[in-house]
Amino acid sequence: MTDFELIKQFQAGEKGAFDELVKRHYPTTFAMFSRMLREEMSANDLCQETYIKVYKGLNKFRFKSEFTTWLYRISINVANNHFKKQKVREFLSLDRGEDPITEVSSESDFELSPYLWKAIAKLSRKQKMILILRIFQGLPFKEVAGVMKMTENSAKVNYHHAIKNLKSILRVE
Amino acid sequence: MDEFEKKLFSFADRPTPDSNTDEFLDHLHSTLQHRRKVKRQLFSIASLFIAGVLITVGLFQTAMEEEDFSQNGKEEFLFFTSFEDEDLSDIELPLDSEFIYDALEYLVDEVDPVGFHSDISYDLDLFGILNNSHITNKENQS
Repeated sequence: MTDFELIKQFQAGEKGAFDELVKRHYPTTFAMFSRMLREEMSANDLCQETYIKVYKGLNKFRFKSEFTTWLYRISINVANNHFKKQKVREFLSLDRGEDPITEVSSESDFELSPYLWKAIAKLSRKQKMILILRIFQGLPFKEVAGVMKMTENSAKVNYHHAIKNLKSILRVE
Repeated sequence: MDEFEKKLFSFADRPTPDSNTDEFLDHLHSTLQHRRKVKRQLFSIASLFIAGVLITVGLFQTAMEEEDFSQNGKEEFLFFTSFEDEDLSDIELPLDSEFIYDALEYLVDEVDPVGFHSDISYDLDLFGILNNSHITNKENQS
């Protein structure tokens, strides 16, 4: 059964179809948030927020885009709100000295670097989201463009700007 | 794709914690239920508040309609009674001249040993409150 068929069932009143959708897509959503946040607890909270929004909005789904595209868009909005709140919390906390960005020299350094996400967080919202969808979610540019509501070329250009800026923040040659 | 991008992709490919879908679904449904409950409670509180306001306004309006603010058949709200159009000398003060006369007599007989009473009676006469011609006559005789 396809996603669209499940959504039609949900819209017809069969609430169990929602559970099937969650079972299908939750692992991917959870993996995305886990990579973004590195904290299982927060990743689960964001997943929950995402699927609550999906549940509330599923009756209004108009089948104009793929369900996954719609789901990514919601996930990105949820992540964005999370980062905004985090920024406010950091601003309000007493210890708000910025961590210095260290130079990433070796691959192991890079993998373990706690600064990578801080560096990604410094990118503009659009670049950050495109980078996450392209690299951490492994979406092709066409799908990235669909989620971000832009042309494929625009998505590519933004992606390359994001990589360039990230290199600059991490001081990678 | 340069080395940096390759590193990024390899970083993204690292294993993520296992996801327990059934546990997540249970938690999701209990959260949805809780939020629905909270929403219902908020709705009830808001409805009660609105009903309370409407009842209060209704009762106040009824009380205002039942209250008779008319005076001499003229609809007049007491707080806004204006005396601007009336001459103060035309206003009749509800003074009982008999009572004033008795009080004056008392003052003359008991309280005023130095004759201060005559000034008071003159003043009262001047304002036409008391006709004290008998005092004036007494003075003329003396």
